[in-house]
Amino acid sequence: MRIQLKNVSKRFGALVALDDVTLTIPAGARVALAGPNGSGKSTLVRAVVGLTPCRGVTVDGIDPFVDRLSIASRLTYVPQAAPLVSAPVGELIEVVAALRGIVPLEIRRVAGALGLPIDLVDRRPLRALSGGMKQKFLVALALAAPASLVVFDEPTASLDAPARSVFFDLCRERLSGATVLVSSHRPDEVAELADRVVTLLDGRIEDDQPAAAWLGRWHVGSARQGSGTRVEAQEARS
Amino acid sequence: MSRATEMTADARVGAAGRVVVHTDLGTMQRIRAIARLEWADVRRSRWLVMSSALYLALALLVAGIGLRESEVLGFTGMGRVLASFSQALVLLLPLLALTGTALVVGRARESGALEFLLSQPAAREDYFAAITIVRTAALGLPLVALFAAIAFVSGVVLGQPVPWAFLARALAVSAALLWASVGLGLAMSTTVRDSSRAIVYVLLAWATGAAVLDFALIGSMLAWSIPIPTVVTLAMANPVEAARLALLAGSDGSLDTLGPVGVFLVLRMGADWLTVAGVTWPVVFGTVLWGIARRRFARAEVI
Repeated sequence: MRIQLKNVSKRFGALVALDDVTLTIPAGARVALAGPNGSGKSTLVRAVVGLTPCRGVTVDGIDPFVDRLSIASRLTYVPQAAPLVSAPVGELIEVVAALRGIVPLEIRRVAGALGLPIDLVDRRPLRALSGGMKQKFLVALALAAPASLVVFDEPTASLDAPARSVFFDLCRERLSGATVLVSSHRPDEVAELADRVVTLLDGRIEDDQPAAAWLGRWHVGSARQGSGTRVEAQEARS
Repeated sequence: MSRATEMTADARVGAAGRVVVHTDLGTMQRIRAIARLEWADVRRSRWLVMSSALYLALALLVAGIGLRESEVLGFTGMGRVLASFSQALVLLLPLLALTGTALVVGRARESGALEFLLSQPAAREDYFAAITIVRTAALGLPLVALFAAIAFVSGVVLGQPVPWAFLARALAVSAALLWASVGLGLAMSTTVRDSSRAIVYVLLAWATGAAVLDFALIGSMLAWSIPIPTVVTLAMANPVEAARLALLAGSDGSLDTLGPVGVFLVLRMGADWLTVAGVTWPVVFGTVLWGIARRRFARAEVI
């Protein structure tokens, strides 16, 4: 799916979240959004997903806020934080599977691969799971569904190292051909998930460069450009 | 629903070997799916327990008063008991409905549930319809149980004839008042972002509804020489008062039960038309506010 932002501005009262942002992400591209807290990454992500109204944002030529349904079944999203809902995990799986037209078993399978055996937490409310378990659950919901646009908002922030590794493997396996937009601070996420990094600062695009160049600042190589071996991110600067 | 909007399922093996069921979910299926989640959430919340406990307390109160009257005075019918019940009901119902709905969008936003659900293939209108159905059902079903309990108490415990006419009227009026309060609560929920502020507005709305009842109105009329048509209009514009008068219109029609405005309206309109107005106006009030809330939820910044 092709994402286009044309002179997009977004304010929350006096706060300018996005300031005249113009950006094109071709179908099949993998783009990371970088930048400090409050730079506008999450607002941009939410605008693309259609969660917040934003004039000038289109996905495949469609305004994702106005006409959500026509793109929502081809789009999956992993938010930064899991919802603190009291509904049991099993119930959530059934509902998301029904809405997305996938078999619930597929979600259970992906969750299992990530180290979250659903059978053990089936009846527990989602809010009662640990932070890492909730994150695995959200990732499983997103990766189990076929999508041509996958949006991640710091997807591995709460994952342990083994789960992160499986997550990257699953992404390589399942996201082939899909457009990926990931908001991230982590060099290892960028190295695994993106070819291009757009850096935001105070709601504006400060930099737009290949992932390899951005990672070079962190002394990290891009796994996707090399042999596909995993990257050990080493933060070289504060 | 047309065949075109019905779900069509076609199992196939998708990319990367995933089993995919291709669906074209209709609106009703999407609403049902979201309502299922919302119901699971409501079932586990303390709010449902609290509202059921209040209904139960009201039923016990009716039973207690009925038993006391029958033992001390010799039971002379359910009239007085049901009048007390009606007065309590019109104050309790709006409070329960407002607390159950005015915070629903704000809390869903704060918990991240809104962001999660609205990123799924469902329209905002579907989500709004689902929360409306679930919240109204969660408030309405215990109410039906309450009326069944009253029928049981009067028929079996007290050995009196079951006041079916009153119960049918009371159920219709209560449902209308409930809907008016649900509409108002959802309108607040989509307008007020902050939960603590929403609670203040709930209490203000409830206090206003309770205050603009008959005796407060007649007091105002005497104090400020407000014309009678204005007082009557104010009374009937308040869905709580409209419902109260509709509930009590079939009673003895005394001044101490109905109040001056109520007696005036019974004499002018008749009990039947007052009942019709007491059901129709809260329904219209609730529907208009619900429509405004739905429109706002679909188009405005709610996350």
